[in-house]
Amino acid sequence: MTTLNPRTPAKLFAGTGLMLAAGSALADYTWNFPKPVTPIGRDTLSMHNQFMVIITVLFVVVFAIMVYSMIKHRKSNGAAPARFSGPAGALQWFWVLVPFGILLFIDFVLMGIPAFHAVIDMEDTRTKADMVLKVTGLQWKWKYEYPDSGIQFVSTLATPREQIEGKEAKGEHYLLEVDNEVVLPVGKKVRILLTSTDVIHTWWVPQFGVKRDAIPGFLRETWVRIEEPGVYRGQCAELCGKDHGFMPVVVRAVPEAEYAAWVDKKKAEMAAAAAGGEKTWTKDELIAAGKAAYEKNCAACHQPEGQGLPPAFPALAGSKIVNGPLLSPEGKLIPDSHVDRVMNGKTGTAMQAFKATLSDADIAAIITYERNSFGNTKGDMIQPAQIKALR
Amino acid sequence: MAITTIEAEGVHEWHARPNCSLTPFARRVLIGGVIFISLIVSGGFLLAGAWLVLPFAGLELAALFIALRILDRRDQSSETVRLEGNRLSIVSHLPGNHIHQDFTVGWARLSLEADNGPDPLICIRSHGRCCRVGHLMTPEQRSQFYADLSSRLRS
Amino acid sequence: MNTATHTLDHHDGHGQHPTGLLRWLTTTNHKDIGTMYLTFSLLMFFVGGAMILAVRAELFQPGLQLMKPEFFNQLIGVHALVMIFAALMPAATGFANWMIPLMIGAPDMALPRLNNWGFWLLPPAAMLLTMPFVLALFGIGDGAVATGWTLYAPLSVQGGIGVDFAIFSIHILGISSIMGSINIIATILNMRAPGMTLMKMPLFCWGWLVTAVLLIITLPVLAGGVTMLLTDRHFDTHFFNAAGGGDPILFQHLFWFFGHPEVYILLLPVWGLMPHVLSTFTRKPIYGHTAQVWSFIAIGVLGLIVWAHHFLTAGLPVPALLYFMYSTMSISLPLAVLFFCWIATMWRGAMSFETPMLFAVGFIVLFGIAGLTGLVLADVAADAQYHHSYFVVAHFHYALFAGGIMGVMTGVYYWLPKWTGHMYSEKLGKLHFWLTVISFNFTFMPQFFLGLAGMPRRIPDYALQFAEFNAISTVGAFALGLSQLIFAYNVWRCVKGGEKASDKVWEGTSGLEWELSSPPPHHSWDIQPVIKTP
Repeated sequence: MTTLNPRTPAKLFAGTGLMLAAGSALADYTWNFPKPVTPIGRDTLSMHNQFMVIITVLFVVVFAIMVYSMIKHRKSNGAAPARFSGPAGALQWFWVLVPFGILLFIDFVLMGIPAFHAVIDMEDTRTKADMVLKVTGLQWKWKYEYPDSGIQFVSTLATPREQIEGKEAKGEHYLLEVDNEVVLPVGKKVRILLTSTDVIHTWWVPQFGVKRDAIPGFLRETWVRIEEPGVYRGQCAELCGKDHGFMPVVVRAVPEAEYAAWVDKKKAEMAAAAAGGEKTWTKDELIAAGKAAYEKNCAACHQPEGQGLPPAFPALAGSKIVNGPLLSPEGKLIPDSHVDRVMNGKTGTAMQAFKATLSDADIAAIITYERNSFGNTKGDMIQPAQIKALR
Repeated sequence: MAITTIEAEGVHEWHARPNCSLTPFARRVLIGGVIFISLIVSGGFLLAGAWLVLPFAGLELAALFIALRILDRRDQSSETVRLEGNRLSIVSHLPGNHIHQDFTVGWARLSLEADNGPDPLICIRSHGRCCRVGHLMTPEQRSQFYADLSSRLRS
Repeated sequence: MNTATHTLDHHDGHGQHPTGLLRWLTTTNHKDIGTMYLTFSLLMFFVGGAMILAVRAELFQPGLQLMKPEFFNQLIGVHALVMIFAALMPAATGFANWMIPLMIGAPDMALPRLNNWGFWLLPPAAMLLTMPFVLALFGIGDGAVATGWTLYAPLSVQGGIGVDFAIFSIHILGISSIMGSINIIATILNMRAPGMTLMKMPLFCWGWLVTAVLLIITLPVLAGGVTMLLTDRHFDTHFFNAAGGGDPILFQHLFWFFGHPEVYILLLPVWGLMPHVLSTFTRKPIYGHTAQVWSFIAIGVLGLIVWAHHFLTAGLPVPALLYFMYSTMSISLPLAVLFFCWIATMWRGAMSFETPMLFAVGFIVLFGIAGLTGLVLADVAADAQYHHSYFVVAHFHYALFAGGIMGVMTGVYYWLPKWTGHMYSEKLGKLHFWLTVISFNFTFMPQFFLGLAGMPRRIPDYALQFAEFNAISTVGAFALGLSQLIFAYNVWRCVKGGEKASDKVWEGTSGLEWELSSPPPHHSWDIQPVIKTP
């Protein structure tokens, strides 16, 4: 017997310290859900942690028995095989049935009861809801509407293509940044209504603990009550076509006063945009504004140089539709014309009805830009006021 | 494929029939069960608006039914070769083909003939008549039967 | 089990068999057809594997390096369809063709010609599925189906010609599976040796019987679903279009009513095979034969009534959510019976760890992870977080690679000496096992954490916080893929020659199939064996 070396505890501490240091070196690796900020998110995380402990215990106990048997009952150890092929006698039957009793308890009591309450809580979207946010999935962006204040806007990926293609260094929030963030007040129960205009999308912010499909033609709902101010990022989670990986969700949660200020600011912006629809633009103004709007809304499919990705996404350069007549002589919409396509889309394809998401000024600018770029030289233009009349 | 031989006084009989472990009761349970479940499933989807499931389920049940019919007909078949005195009688019940022929022992000739498959059948000929047996025997059983019968015919 | 017969010698001498290609085109011999199924499966396993390695290469680093998102989407969907329908299912059918007649003492399958057609439908179906890739190279269409294997409407209504090709391919694969199922049901029910009652029948046959019945019940639903998709695409019907009175979620119900039992269709033959392997290498009888039979049946029945847990985030009503949650959890009971019986079979045996046993043990442990994570996934509220994320990807690869593919490999190593008459290289087999298990966990364990951290599945590019685990996963995937070349080489070597295998092959085998010579004669069971009651 040797006496305990007095320095052993010190070594132990040093060892633990090393392990901790190694742990902090692993800070880039996240091993669990991101920090939840809603009641549902917290509930989900604690349930998840509890279940992980349960299944880890099950795993360890069951396979410890198996590993023990594998070590002990080896032929090379001289084990002689037993001949039993089932439980014999009441006592053995009892011990055989015990694990299944435990499993029943785990399934329907230990896991089943908290799961039941969580489901009821998660689906209760209506009790004491403070406000409504309507989310519409479109290929490949999100449209947000605040029915209370009439605010609506479209939120698209803000990461430049150069970063995606590796021509520039990637930013901190690569692929998780948008041009228009959703702003929500902290501490309010927000009932979120979801739908889609084309295919199924799924709205997901991991820190909220909610994920719900946006289904075309139907309304689904969920709710959040964000407890801490901050910016929360998520993504579309249902394969929705080409740019499924490029339609992030960014929510900024702010205190109520700040939220009210944001609502006022947003309303003023919308009024200004509406005014933009009233004034008469010059062709150069339209083309300049159109280029910016095109790159944001159209270039993902039709490509920055208008060459498209045929056959799914036709080229605009030299396109019959783009180079066709603008409007009928009476100033009416021609079916399947350029203006019709941009405003009303084409059913059954990824070409959506942009009149639902873009302002009159944007539509007019895009149409004018397309007719005068990529080698298209129509030379004509359309005014936002004309688009407004066609709506 | 099971062969039973019956040996009585002056009589020797070979009776071949296919091995079949599916009892008529089990067959009814199978068909009834599959039809019942398929009807519930496709009926449910019909109510949900997906009526196209029903014709596919019907097609498939028809295929299953035909397969079981084929098996059933095969299971009903039998071949009996009976040697009594100097009379050799052959009774064979095969799907779509029922034969009863009698031969006189002294005139019957045996040969192995393969007409459309790799496995030869036993052919019994006499006076221009020909009768094939061995459909329900495995090649091993057939050659054993051939040897057995020809030795008995010779003796 | 006692039989009244003894082993027979080779019996290839009856008449002439066609040789060369014609032999394989026209064969009705269950062993030839089994061999063709298994060869086809191995080939498609590498095709599907190559596709996913391209995907993993793209995911090695954030950013788009190798391919466009459209092509990425095509690869993931076709990878899944190829692996499920052209690799795993044919492998199990190959096992069934080879082993069921040998195990039940039948000279061949009940409907040999149907058997031949069933196989020869597969290559055209696989070609249809992959042809759009080639057509796109010539500027026809925009490539293969890009909707994932789930073909969810309306994305698939919007898709290009790849979707049509996939629909027709699925129809042909379905016809092939139906033919195989009918044949297997007929064989198992009608051609068992006298004395082999249903409850004495080997568990592998039981696993397949339940599989075949599940296929018969669920395939019309898939066939109906994809046909409705086809008519929605081309004939102006509105089954899945809300504007025409339809419902996109109806497609998900149709798909998963087939899709969930499909998981058990892939796994039941493997579960049936496991007890045989465990009993052989523990030199001890199977524990709980009857309990396992009833578990198979219970899993089959439960498998038919839990489908909607695949779309719990689609906004189902609360009672439906609760029903699907609890019914899904209850599957853990029959599965636990299987685990219990496997471990009880090992308990107090005399174990040795040849390659099949190693794979069996690896299967049990890794499939255990799949089962336990499946239990957690059933919980609706937590599922909201796991669903559509890499957590699910990891979960079903633990079920279908560790459960399905490794189960198939167990069977191949176990039966290969019986089929070829030669022993495979034990050294290479063990190397293959360890490389597979280690690289498999390197590939898929990080994906659990990616899912928890919030990485959605089916995205070609991802945020920077997911980079480390994705890099590890990609390295693991390439190691996993390359390790399978050892398997292919080992099989090839064993077919070509090697140490002679005895009739029993392994010390602890029991059952009719081990009483035939190795390899078995072209016509096995020329004399009907009889099972005596002990």
